[in-house]
Parts: sequence; structure tokens; C-alpha cells
Amino acid sequence: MKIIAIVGMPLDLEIGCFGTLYKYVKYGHKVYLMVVGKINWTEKNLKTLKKSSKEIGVTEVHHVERFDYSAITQENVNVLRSFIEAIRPSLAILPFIKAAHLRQKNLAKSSLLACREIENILMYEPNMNRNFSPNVYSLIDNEIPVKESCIEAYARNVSAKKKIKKKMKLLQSYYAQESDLAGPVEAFESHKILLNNDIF
Amino acid sequence: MKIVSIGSHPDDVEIGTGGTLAMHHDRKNSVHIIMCTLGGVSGDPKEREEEALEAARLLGATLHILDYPVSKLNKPGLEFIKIIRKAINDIYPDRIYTHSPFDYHQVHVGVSESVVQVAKDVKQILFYETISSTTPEFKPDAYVDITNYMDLKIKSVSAHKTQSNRFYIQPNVVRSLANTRYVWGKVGANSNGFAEAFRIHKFIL
Repeated sequence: MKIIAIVGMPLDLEIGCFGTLYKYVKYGHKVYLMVVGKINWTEKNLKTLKKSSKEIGVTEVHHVERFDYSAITQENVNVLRSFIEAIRPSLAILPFIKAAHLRQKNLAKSSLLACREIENILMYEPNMNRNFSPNVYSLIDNEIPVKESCIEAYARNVSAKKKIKKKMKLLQSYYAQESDLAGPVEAFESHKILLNNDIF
Repeated sequence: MKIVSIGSHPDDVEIGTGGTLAMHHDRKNSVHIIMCTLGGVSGDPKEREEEALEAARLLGATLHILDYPVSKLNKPGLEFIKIIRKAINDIYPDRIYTHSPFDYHQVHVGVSESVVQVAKDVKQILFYETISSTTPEFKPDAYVDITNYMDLKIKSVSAHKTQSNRFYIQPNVVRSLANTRYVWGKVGANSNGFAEAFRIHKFIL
């Protein structure tokens, strides 16, 4: 199965769903990343993501620079769709549609429009967001060491490392409680899944 | 994989999950139906039991009848919790389909809440819809393409002959909802496609 994950901000993907993506790669699925925007993606950030992606076995990292974050436009949707149509994934993992930040929300809505024909769509949220009601969970105890090292790669100093790790652990334990699972958990809100698919 | 679909009355499970259970049977999954009550006011319990057995046979499922008094299910208490817990634990399923809490029928809501309460260790719990009583708050986020199993679903629903005068088990009504769910859920591009829709309570990947 081919999986595409879309991201607009550095670290969002690593915190939100890197463990699950790694798990899918280990199951033999092909994972593609679409990195959207220009401002946040400095050369260093992009290099860090590409390195981490290589570590978990991502097939391709595709950078979409031409994206207008200020609005949901047909041009934005077309830009995203052109890569999606080339990949033809069965599962799309998108930023949460009710993100607090307007720029994030615009990316999420544009992504959903571009992906609406895909059979399975899950949404991730790397921040505490009261609108986010996850119902799909992934236990990532075996993937945690790699996920942590990918996240730490972004941190400039020890204090930043601590701050990011604290945020990640808080989210993971919160979702573990919600799902009655023992161990670190990543959580998703299902937009739609097709249960005929073997992965489910 | 062990699957169980839980319904309050005979015919609930076939209406909500008939096609899905047929798909699971086709995949060689172990398919079970738990029926909480044999009804009471809607027909002779013996007759309804025979109809339910025939419907389960058509879907390749094992039927477990709890035969709990329907009047007590209006407000299920500890007694029912114990019974439903035992029934689920005996099967030890990987996935449960049950009534949704978004339902006008107090018995359906009671069963849904009881199942959620006792099935904490089950990895996947999904709510199904019953066309006669699901409320507009039911917003599906999971689907099963049942195009290949639609005829079997109709047969299993129609096996409940004592209910044949009910509008919601007429084949055109059942097909209409399934076609709407297929199109609305963007399950595929077949204009004659059919789907069953679910709301995920919990789904461990």
C-alpha cells in the first residue's frame, strides 16, 4: 500500500505520526511525504526532515514550495493534487482540519480537497487541541527510540530538546489513557476509512 | 480475526451490518452475532428466533441469543452488564460492531453504552446505523463496500418475515440507504455501488 503524509511545519509530522509511519514502512508499505510551503522550511529544517525520513525508510520526500497559505484556492489544491495523482496512495495522513492556526487550517482544508477521492484519510494533530477527537490509535512502543532521535535532530540546544520531548511525552501518554493502551500512542481522527482494505 | 456484531432486537444486526458480516465470512473471519432480546411486542419469540437463525446462517455467522427481557433493556443495569460482558469475553473478539449512541431507541442506546463499558480491552469498536432509529447526529467515518454482498444482505434482512410489513426492511429502502452511503462516503465510482457506514468509537491500528 502507498501512504502519503502532508506537513506544513517542521516537527509536526515527527511529533504527530512519525512512529506510525515507521511502523507502516516496517510492514512493507511505501510512505511518501509532501512538505508544503517555503517560509518555515529553511535549508536546515528540510535537510533534517530528509535525514529523519531516510532513517525510517520513507520512499520520497516531495517539497511543494508554491503554496499560498493565506487562502484556500483552486491553484493550491491543484498543486497538491498533481503529486497525489502521480503517487495514487490508498491512505492519506493529513493535518487536522480544525487546527488552531489559520495557516495550518488552510493547508489542512486544501489537502482534504486534494485527497478527497482517496479511500482512507486520517488526520493528525501535533498540538493539544480541544477540537481534536481522535478515535484511531497506534501503539508505537517499538518505534519510540527512532521517533525520539528524529525529533531531537531539530533541537538547537539541551533546553529545546527537553521542551520538545516533554510535549511529545505529554501527548503520547494522554492518548494512551484515552485508548486504554499501555505504552506510547499516536492518535488520529478518522475522516474516512474503508474497512475492506487489508490494512484494517 | 474474530468479529462480533451486537444487536438489541432480531434484525438490527442484519440491517446495520449484514453486508459487512458477509464480507468477513468471505474473508474466512470467525463471525458471531449477539442478539440481546427476542423482542416481545413485535412477534412470537419462537418465530423470531427461527428467523434470526436463518439470517445468521445466510451470513455465515454463529448466533448467540441472550434472551434478556426487553422491558429491562429500557434501562440496562448491572445484571445486563454482567451478561453482555460474559458473552463478549466468551468470544474474545478483535472487532465489535454495535448500536450507536446516536439513536432514538432507548434500548439501542442502552445496549451501545453497555457494550462500550464492558469492551475496554477490545481493539476495535464501531457503531452501526439502524435505518429506523438512527438520529442525524450519526456521522460516519468508516465504510465497508458491500456491493458484492448486497443481495445477501437483502436476503438476511428479509429472513425476518414477521417484520415484513415494516417500511425500513423493504429492499428498496435498504438499497437506497446503502447506495447513498456508498456515494456520499466516496467509497468508489460505481453508480450502482453499495456501502454500510460506521462511526468509529475506538480503532487500534
